[in-house]
Amino acid sequence: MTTIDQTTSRPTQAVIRGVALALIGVAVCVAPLYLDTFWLRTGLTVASAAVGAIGLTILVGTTGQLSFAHPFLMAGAAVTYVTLADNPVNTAHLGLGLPPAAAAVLAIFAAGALGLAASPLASRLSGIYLGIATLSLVFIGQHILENWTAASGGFFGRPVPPMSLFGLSLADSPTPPVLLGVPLQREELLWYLSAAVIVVAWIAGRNVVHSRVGRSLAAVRDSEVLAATNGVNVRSAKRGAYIASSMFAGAAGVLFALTTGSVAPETFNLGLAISFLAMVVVGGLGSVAGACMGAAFIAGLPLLLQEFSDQLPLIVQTGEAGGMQASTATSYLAGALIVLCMLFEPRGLVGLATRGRSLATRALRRTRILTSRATHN
Amino acid sequence: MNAQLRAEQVTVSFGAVKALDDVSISVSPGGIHAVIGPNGAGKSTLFNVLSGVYPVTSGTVVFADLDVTKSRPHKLVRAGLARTYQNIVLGHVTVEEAILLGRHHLTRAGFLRCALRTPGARAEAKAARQSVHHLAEMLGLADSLHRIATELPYGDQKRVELARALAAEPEVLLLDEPVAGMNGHEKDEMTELLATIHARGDTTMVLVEHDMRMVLSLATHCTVLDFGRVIADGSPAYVASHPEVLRAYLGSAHAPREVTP
Amino acid sequence: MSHLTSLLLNGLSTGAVYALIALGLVLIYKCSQVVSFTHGTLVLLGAYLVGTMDDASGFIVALLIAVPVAAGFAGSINLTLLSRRAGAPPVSLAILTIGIDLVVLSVLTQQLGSNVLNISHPWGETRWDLGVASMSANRGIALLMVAAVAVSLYLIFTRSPWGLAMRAVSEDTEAAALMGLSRTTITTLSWATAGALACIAGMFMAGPPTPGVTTTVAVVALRAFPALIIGGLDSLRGAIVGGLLIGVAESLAAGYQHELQFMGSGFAEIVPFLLMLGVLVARPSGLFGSREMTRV
Repeated sequence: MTTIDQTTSRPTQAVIRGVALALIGVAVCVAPLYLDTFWLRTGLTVASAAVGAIGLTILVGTTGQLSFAHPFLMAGAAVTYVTLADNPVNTAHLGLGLPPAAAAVLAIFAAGALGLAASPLASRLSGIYLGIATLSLVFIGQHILENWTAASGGFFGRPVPPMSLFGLSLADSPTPPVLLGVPLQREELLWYLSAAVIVVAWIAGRNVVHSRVGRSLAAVRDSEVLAATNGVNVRSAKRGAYIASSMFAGAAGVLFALTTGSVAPETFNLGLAISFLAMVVVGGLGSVAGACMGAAFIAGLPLLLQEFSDQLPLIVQTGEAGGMQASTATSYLAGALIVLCMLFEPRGLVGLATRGRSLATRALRRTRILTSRATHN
Repeated sequence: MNAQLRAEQVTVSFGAVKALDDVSISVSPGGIHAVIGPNGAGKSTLFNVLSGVYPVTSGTVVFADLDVTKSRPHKLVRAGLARTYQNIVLGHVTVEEAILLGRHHLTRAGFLRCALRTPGARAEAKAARQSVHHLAEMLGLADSLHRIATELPYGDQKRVELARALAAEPEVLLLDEPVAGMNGHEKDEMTELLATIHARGDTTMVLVEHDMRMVLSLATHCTVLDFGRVIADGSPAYVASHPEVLRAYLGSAHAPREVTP
Repeated sequence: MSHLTSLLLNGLSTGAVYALIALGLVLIYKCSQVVSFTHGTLVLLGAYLVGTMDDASGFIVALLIAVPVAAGFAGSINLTLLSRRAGAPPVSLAILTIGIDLVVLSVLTQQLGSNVLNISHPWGETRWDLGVASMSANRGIALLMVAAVAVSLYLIFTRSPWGLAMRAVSEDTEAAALMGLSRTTITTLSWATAGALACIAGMFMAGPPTPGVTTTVAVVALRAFPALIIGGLDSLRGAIVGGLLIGVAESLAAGYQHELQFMGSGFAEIVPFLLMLGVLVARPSGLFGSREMTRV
């Protein structure tokens, strides 16, 4: 039985949570001062993936709508950002020369607009049907990007203009800002930006999931008929979830572009869509924290395997023979984890954590009861 | 005044099978209207038609000023129609959350306001929670509010389902077999509860039920269905002594195909 | 004129291969409400099996071994994994098949690398001259194969006891239980059948005019999904019509690519997907699929 012990554990839990959050906050703030570029880049990649995964878990986990469209939406936002922000004088491609911050916000809305454009599908189709329909968006998106080279840069992609906030360009510079004696270059600055975006995405995602809207989405997932007869406009709920998820994907797309420094159509493929699904499944469907854990695992792992391939058995560098490439190894693991989660722990890493915690609480309570009995006797 | 719910000459066909055949039913405001009949008589289909979930092959259904056959179900809820299901779907949520779903149409906050937790959205959520707590108090669920709904005993789950429908503050409440699967004691409790709720407010109730004892003690009006047709309609006493009703109840035992939400 | 005719013929024959794959998907869906995202990879697996045994034992023996192996493999996926979660939400089951797909595809990618395996079809590069147009014998035989499969599936479904049981399962589990067949048996049989069809489709797909077995096969096989959706998830007839339609549309788009230049290069490859979106907007349950009873 899952009863929440309200009398004692709630305040204690809140304190523990507060302390943990503060520690994490401090760690995130000082990390770029100590970590080298590889770790920072890994962190940035994970951050962009996490923002996208939060959006996807609201759609797939909370609403029960399968979607492969995340790469398509990310690409839309990334290309919009680059096109809006690029200086029309210096670039060989389309460029409007908008301030990067404005371009980023507009790019997120552009992803939302793509989501809105898909709403004839997203609002009417359910579950798997939507999944298969969005499969086509990946292919169509890639086709458009490959052909509309003026915006996308075509096969080779195009460089991404750096973000600039309050007059500070988030790029390498000969006179970087200095924090505690450490010069803040591109990766360090992007780290702080990503951290801020993740916090916003996390809070927004959690708020939505635990709100009136989140409840209606979960009802749609459990049974559309049930949701409708409880007053939920099922179509607009599904449309809303899709658009919201698209905007998260958009933010992820912009972060991704800034992190990699170039956008290429090839990146936004079906494999990426499946990686995102893996993240939300492995983390635990419908859980914002789970999405972030899943993102850390699925997006971080190939980079780590690649970096430490010489110290790991079985893994080889790209192009080498006689072993497994980091990306293949990740596919194996991701696939196996999806299967294991779906068979044994549909609530993923978060479910495992909850189980662990409830085991611990139970053990604690048992000892408490035993000791109280002992004292009474 | 309570909204009127009325179905006229409704026929619903699944392929060659007529689940409902020229059924008319008029629910008078303020009463408790029972729909009874053997398994497979079309009671669930009728409920699904009345709540706007099933399209009709022919006929008209009117609730308040709405054409039920053309309105999407959530609009009916807004107009004051709520329902429960025989097969309960509560999901992996706490009792409080499950009941809160019923408040959906009485609250407004959308994606943006929920994401930002604006003061308005918070106040609205708090008020909704309070009314859920009141309801839980009344239905004897106050101690279970923070437990996972699906882990409650069956009888309690039934009451959560009822609470969710009541949370919508309906004028007309459709109850799909509210005591099915309960033991005698639980049945009595639920019957009493429904009577109390009915006495307290002016909620019109329509209930599908097998349990004749409950129907006779509670209902003010009865409609009897068999093979998709109305075979009797009138006061409980009249219906209970109707020869066709007795025949239908004694003579048939075909397998049910219930509709799950 | 003959250009158009030959495009149509080639389209039909390409479509035949999609239809074979889509038929398997429909079978699985009808019996277990699972949409198998593992299927593109099963097609590759089939082609791979034929391709690897081809050198040593010749085409016929390779095919005779590969088909039952592929069928057994697909059946065992259901038996060991999916049937354990029977009754879970369809989206969860679909995600489970995506996980399986990732693992199997990784194994195959690892094995194949960037190599091309050749299958020595006995009909080789032969082209059939049909007067007005010609088509590759490989695709012609695929077309005949689809006709044969369609007829035998029809017979199995309407005449044989397990076909009837399969129909019973897709409509009512209890009725099937009364016939002495468990749900697991039926769903496993449907997976096995689908695996066999995927293997045959893979064998054709890796033959002329395409080069041999490469990992691309798994990607191309994904075009069976538009076929599936256009026809309607639960309609065998729909799978065939959808497959042929997709094949023809793709072939026409490729044949008239100069006229369609403004749609960008490689347009033919996304035509199936555009077609699917069009159909979904107009008819969410596809051309022949059964409609949702409830309205929300």
